[in-house]
Amino acid sequence: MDLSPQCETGSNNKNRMNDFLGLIVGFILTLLVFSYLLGDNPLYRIAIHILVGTSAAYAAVVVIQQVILPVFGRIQENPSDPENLLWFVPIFLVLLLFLRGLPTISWLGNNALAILVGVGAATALVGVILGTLWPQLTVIEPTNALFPGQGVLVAILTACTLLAFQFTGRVDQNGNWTQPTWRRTLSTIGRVLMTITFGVLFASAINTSVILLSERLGYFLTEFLQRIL
Amino acid sequence: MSHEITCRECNASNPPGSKFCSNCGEKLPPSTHMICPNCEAANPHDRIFCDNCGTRLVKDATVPLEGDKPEKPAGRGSAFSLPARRPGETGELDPSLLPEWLRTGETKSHQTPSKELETPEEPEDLPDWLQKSIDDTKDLVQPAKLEDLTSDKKGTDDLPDWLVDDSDSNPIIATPEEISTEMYLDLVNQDEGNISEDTPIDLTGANLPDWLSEASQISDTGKLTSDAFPEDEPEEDDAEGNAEEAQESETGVPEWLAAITDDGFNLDSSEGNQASDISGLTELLSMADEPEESKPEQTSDDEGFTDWLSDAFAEDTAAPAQQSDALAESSGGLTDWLSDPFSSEEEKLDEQAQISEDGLTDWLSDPFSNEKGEPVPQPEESEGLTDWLSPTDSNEQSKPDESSEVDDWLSELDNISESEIGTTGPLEDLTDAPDWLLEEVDSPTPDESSPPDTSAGIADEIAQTLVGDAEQVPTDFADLFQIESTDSEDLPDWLAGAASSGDSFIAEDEDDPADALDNLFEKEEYAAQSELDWLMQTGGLSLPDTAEDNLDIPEELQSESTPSDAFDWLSDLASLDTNTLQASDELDEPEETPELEEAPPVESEAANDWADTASFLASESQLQEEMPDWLPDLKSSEQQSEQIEDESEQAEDLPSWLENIEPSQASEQMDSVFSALSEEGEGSAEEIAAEQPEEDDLPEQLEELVSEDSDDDLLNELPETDQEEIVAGTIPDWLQNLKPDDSKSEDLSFMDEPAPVEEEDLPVETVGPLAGLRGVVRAEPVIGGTLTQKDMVPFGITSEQQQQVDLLRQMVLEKSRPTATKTSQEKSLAISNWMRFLLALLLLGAIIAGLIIPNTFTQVPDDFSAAESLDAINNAAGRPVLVAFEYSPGMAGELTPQANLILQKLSQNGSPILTISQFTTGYSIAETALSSIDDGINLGYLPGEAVGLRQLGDCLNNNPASCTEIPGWPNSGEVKSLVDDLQLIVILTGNRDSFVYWVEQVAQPTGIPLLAGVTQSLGPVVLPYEASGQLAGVIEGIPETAVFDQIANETPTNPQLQQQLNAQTFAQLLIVILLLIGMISYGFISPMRNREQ
Repeated sequence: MDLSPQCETGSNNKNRMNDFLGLIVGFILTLLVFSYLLGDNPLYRIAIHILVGTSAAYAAVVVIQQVILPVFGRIQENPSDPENLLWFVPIFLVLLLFLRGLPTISWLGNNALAILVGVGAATALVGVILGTLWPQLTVIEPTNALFPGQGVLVAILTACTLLAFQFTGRVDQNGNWTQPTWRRTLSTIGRVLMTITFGVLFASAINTSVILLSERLGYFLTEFLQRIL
Repeated sequence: MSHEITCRECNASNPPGSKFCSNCGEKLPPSTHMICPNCEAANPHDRIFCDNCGTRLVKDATVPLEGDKPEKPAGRGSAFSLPARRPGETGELDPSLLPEWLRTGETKSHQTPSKELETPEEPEDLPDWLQKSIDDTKDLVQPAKLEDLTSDKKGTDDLPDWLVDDSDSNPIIATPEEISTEMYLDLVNQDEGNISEDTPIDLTGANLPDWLSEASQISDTGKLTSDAFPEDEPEEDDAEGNAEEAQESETGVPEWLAAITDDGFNLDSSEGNQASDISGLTELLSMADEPEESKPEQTSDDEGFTDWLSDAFAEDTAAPAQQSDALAESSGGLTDWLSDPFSSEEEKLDEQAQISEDGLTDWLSDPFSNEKGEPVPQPEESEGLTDWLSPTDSNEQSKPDESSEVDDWLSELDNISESEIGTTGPLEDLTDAPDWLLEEVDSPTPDESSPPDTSAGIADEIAQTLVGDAEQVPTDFADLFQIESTDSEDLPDWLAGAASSGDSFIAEDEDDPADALDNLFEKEEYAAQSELDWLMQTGGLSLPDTAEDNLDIPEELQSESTPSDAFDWLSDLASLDTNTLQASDELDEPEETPELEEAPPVESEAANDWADTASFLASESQLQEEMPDWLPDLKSSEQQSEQIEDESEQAEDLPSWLENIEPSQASEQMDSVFSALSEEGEGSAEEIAAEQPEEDDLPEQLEELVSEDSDDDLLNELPETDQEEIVAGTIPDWLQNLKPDDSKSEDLSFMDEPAPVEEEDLPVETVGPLAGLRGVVRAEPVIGGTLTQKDMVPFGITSEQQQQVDLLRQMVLEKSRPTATKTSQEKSLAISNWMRFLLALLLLGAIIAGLIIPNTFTQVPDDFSAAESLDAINNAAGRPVLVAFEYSPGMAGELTPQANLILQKLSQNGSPILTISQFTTGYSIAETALSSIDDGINLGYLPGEAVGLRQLGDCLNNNPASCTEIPGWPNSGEVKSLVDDLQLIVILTGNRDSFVYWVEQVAQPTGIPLLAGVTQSLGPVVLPYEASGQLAGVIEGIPETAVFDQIANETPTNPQLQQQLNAQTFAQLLIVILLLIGMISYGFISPMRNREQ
């Protein structure tokens, strides 16, 4: 296709108009989200609903386009291929999951859901053990003079953090719930670590939010200034 | 005052109302109380007067009339019978409790009476024994408390003070040093001396009891004058000297005897009915005469004879001539009052002779019989007469056979008297007399020179008196001796107390003894109806007709006085506890009372009481069969006399019975009690005696003591029945009135009111369930009435209650202010909203300022991890690199600059770029990113999260089967070869799970280096993996992106990164400033709010 310069100028103008429209819509939606500074309000809810709706629709389109259609395309190309027939098993489980929407026969989707959760949990468990705990515990960093055995320290602090969520104990003569002293100590250490971690995460989230705000403000300033100026 | 109940077993005190002992569990006596009829206060049952109002609790029976005298059980009429003791309960008679002198017959201290007796004209200077009697009477008026009567008084102190009074320096009669038959022999000698010399008797004779000494103090004029007690009366402690001096002393006739003669005792007697004269009043008189005869220390000389005796003799001469020769012979020494009764009452008392003899003490009635010259009508009754009296009997009445039956000592005494006087009494007749009597007779005494004629009259009179009714002598004495002689050591203390009590029968009337005596028998109602009545009831006392007429003694009482019942009181007395004696001792404690000051002359009362005592003793003579064994044993037995002297038992007992019947003090006490009670209008002794439901025989003196006794021990010894009856006495009158007429039994008669209301006068109930009953107590009008205004309790609240009310009101008002609170909340909400909006504006301003203001102070940090990330990208140069866009458009503002820089660097290194994403939006972002470099292959969307990544990892480990199962994954061609040759995986994400899944499921299994481009919020999560070496490098947020841009490119390619970094710095500064401001403001405002609140 041969594009003339006039056509290129017209398409650029349309792109600029679309970008500008998009910039306006985006700016409005940004203001709607920022309206939450004044509390929960319909404008904020409208922005959230638009975001969620478009995201879900986009995800659905992506999933259909990127997952379902390729599978059906492969089966359609060679339906007799046994490897392609195996796709009916997941398709069947997906159909059973759809039945969850029907209360009378929702139980049919429990097995599919159980397989999904079970496989996902097992996979995650193996990944956590092999991909996080073991590498974290076995790591030895000779260069770190302060904590050469970082893995042991991480393991201890991790154990302390886990004990912080252990609420079992014994009831004394007065009917009060009590824990052993050693466990109360480790639990306290775990709670302190979590406090610190949450503080750091919160600060990081603020930094991230500030960066996002600044990027968005910078975008608008740049776009508006550029378009206005 | 304590209402506690004392346990009998352990003496533990228990609270009132207890049924069992809290200490030992023993059953406690019922805790009863006497309800005061006045104030209805509960009083212990040992109280006589109310503790609260003083009202008398023990009801005083009204003077029993002849018609309504309660019938008393036969044989229980004796006033001296105690209710508490049974005959068998005499275990507490401990010989050790007897006074030492009574046990051993020896006294350590011998008091010689040296103090002169005062004349009757000076009552303020009464002799000690009178003063003691007065004090005792006061003590009776003010009841003694048994709490004070401790057991430590059970020694010789048990004796009355008139007997043993060591404290008195000059007692009239001292305690006899040795009480033996010699003592009485001395008395005979003294009498002999007195008769001969007609001189005042020296009362220093320690062996002489008071009442005998009292008789010895009688003057010739019949009054107690100073002449009767010479001033030069020696004071010596030597008993022997006393005996000698006593013979030299002059014996005077007491005033009361003189008064009797002066007033002309109108009881005429005659020979014919002498026996009948002996009844009643004559007994009293004979009893009054008894001391003189038994203690022949009194002189009966014609010249020295007392006036009253002379007068009596004069009157006696005017008496009918029927009197015997013996009487005429002894007329010089015989008083009219002795002779008159027989002459005047002779005709009247004929029919009662036998009765009077039964009731008359033998030895007292003897004189009258002798005076009459009549033989003893009942020879068998003289069996108990002592031998020494028998000669007299033989002389006077020619009855030797009967005299043989008389006790020896009495007969000896008679012989001695006659021998001393020079009459017919031969000494050979004293063969049966005891040694002491013989010794005294044989021993020369200064009194032997005394005129025998004077003594002859007295002696003859004595002999006649004693022999007249000799058969009754031992009865009286036997009963008295039986207690003390047979068991002298077992003599209880109470008996000594009884002796002192018995003394009170005679009260002195110094002013006018004759009037007093008349009052005794004629005028004084209390004396007649109280004393004599109960005395009559005691032991079957009988009075002469005249006396009985005056005394209004009912016939049934006389008939009830059987000999068998006569001495119940003695048996009861024998079983008394020593505590009773203590009570009696208390009576001896002198204490003055107004009643005594106003009392009539003491001597006269003493005479009356003494006469009462005589009648009482005469009444006791009815029981001859109860004559003690020791009395016959004394008959003509020298061995027994020696035994008496050695063992000092029977001899010691002799003064004891004299003590018991000693009239001076005991009569004073009793009479004082009677007089005191009479003044209170509470009846006589008989009435008091009638108060006891069953213990009517209890004399009022002892009754008072018992009722006043607060000693629990004594009360506990009472039988249950007694206590119950005491409880019954507490029934209030109103309750008694509620009882039907037929149910008012006689057993409650003792509760009669002093002024009982006739039932006919009581209103009859006409309506209601009590219809027909009389004397129904009406309901109190207060119950049916309405409360008046003054009875209502005024309403009021305290200050504390007022404060509580105010506080409650304040709280209610504060709760009723929702509007104000809501406004403040709205204001605070608006403020907070505006504050948030303000903060948002400040943040926007800071960010905008950071974006606009050129970076002047922000420098890119020298980050080591950014260099590592660049090295990892450079190491994968030319080799396929898989870039995973695991973030949404929301994180695009922070991650997109990283993605662009990494893609640019990869693209610069010539590494084929494959993009993949598990986010649906990541697919489009990857598309956008790839579009900026015009290179790379977008593998699309990878579903399944961890499972999808696990499958991808297996596919990357050269497992073709796994790769073919990835939907949309290229299974063949150029793309597949690129996947199989992946050299670096770059993950751009702001999600922790996505990062972890890539590390755990792809990087860890495949071993492909992983570069993480993450947001600053995910930086803390990525750092451990970086430290563990699981990550080839980390690019964290805009700052490291800017560093990476500086490291990767010589000149920063993205100026926006610097603006964003500058804006972030401004925003962080603003946040820090706001936090500081917030902290400071909170530090100041919060205390202020707290202060305001």
